[in-house]
Amino acid sequence: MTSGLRSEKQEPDPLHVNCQTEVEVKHGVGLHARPSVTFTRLAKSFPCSIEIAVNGSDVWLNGKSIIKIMGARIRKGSILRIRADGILAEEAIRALKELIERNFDEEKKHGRTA
Amino acid sequence: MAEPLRLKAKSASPGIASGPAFLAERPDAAPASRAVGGYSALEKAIDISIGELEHLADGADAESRDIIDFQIEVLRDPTIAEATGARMEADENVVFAWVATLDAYIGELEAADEEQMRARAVDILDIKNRVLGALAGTPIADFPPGSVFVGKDMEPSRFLAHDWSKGGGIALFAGSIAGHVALLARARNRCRWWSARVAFRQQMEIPFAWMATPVRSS
Repeated sequence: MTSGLRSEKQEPDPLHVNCQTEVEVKHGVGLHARPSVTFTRLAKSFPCSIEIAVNGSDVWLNGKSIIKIMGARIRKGSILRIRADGILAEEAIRALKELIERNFDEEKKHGRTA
Repeated sequence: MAEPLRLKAKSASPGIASGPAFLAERPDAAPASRAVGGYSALEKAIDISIGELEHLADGADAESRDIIDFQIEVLRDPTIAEATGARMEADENVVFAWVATLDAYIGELEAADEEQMRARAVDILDIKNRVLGALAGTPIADFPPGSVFVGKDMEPSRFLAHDWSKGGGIALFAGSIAGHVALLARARNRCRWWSARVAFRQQMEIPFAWMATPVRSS
């Protein structure tokens, strides 16, 4: 299950953007070590803050923290809400959502476990 | 003459290894610290540790790079820096702050339901000790080439830094076939890059010191 991006641009500061999306994790083992590295490295490439919440939880975790991401027990079928706040928030959300939908580019690493 | 000691174990990589046993110190015995300094000393130690890991990654295969990348990403985790910094602001020594922060994560992983998560605890232990070593100026010691490493568990970076060209093996009483060391050993074995063999024993009732040499694991 996926949904479109939702953003709230606040005038008059065009750089300050809040953005949120929801995406289902379809990766076979979920966010173990390697997918978590891929996710947090991409998240850290954006200057905005990025947080995730898992399966309807109202606890938001730092999306740039591999410890938090791995500790969230995100598995196949988990629904992730991702929100970003700040510069390039929309781009960050789009990129992270697409990464999850591409199964963390694991096809490029065929045959290796997380 | 006494019968050779025989122990059953779960194999993480098939084959036979023999050689003098190297009885390792417990990996959770952190290096004695002579470290002094504040947060900047910790930042420097983390930078040194990342540099060491990047050096290990030079020319490494994809499996090894994944494991090193994971460790580097943990070292760059903003929440670890924040948690350690908060402890230091509460007047904890840099070493105690670092150890307490990492031990909390290790404890969480060791208590996890899934073996794959529990197996990551030794990665965090590896990182903890590497940074402590950098703080104290005492790098992680290697063990003799060709020997069979016997211990509670083995840190992935110790495996990667070791010279396996002379063979050798690993026998761990708290290892895991889901661990990164097991993953690395299987990958090397599959590629026939060296003759290391790994056997893991989940529970050992007999103290290390009773292990005879040479050790043969299956």
